[in-house]
Amino acid sequence: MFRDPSLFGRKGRLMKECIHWLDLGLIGYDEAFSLQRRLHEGCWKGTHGDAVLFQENQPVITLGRSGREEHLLWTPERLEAAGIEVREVGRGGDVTYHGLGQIVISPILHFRRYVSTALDYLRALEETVIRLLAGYGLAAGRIEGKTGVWAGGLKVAAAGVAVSHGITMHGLAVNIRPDMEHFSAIVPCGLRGMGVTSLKLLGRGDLSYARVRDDWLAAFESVFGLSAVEWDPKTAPAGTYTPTGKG
Amino acid sequence: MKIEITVPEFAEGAKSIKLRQWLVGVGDAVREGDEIAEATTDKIAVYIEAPADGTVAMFLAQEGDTIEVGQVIAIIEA
Repeated sequence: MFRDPSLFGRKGRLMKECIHWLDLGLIGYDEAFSLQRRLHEGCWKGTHGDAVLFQENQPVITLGRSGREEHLLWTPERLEAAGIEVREVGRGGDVTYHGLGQIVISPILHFRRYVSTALDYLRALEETVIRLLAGYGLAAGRIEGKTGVWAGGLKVAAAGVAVSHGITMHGLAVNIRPDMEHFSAIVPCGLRGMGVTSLKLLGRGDLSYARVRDDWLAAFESVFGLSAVEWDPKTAPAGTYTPTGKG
Repeated sequence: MKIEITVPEFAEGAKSIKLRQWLVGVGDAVREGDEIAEATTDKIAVYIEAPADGTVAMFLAQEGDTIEVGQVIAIIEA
């Protein structure tokens, strides 16, 4: 298995970690955030191991820890008319839009089991999306000094994480086929003049949420050197499993 | 006994780390593992924890300051 030494540095690992994944499906941001916090706490207290959450949200704009309100371009009235809510969240980064047609991926990991530093972790997350897109025949990469994954100078996936007790929260948002008009409500990630794109606009409008989820999991397993299995509803932490999750 | 609270090594590699907010005040009792400060860096929010039980004796950095890995930002009296 190829492992980029610049991402993994001195952290060699001898055994594969086995973690769980859970698809919350279409869910409100607040409910999903509450579940994520509960899983983070369970992971910290040792109730369960590392996990990855997937979700698709109703339209919401999140202001990260370095978010500035001037990066919110629409009036509250216009946001409300478009059905877009605004939330402050505990992750790094600036302003991010989440909505239908986007897959939000939140690894809850003891990240030092896989990489040395939080920055390496962020870069490894970006690598998962670069490999995902490569599998679709799409060239994507990083732009020096900016986070996220870019294709043709446009951002196709946003990245932002929080680390508490050595365990991560938040993660990635990959644009599959979102309503691109909604992105004009913000200056994405505070980067004025930097546009966004989607897998659909890049010519892969055929990809479903479930397909992207499964393909991303394969890329994630490869980059992090772990294996991920779906959480059995019988053993998933109470209140987290939604049988309506997209499969 | 005085215990130093430092910016954790895992934040290493970040170009600039900013102390965003203290989550406790001077004089507060804290337990090992309690989150005492939020720091932000390139798209990463890092919560800095108390390394031991004790009382927050003093802050050595202010909210908004740029801080470095290993820097002592507060003292706990254990």
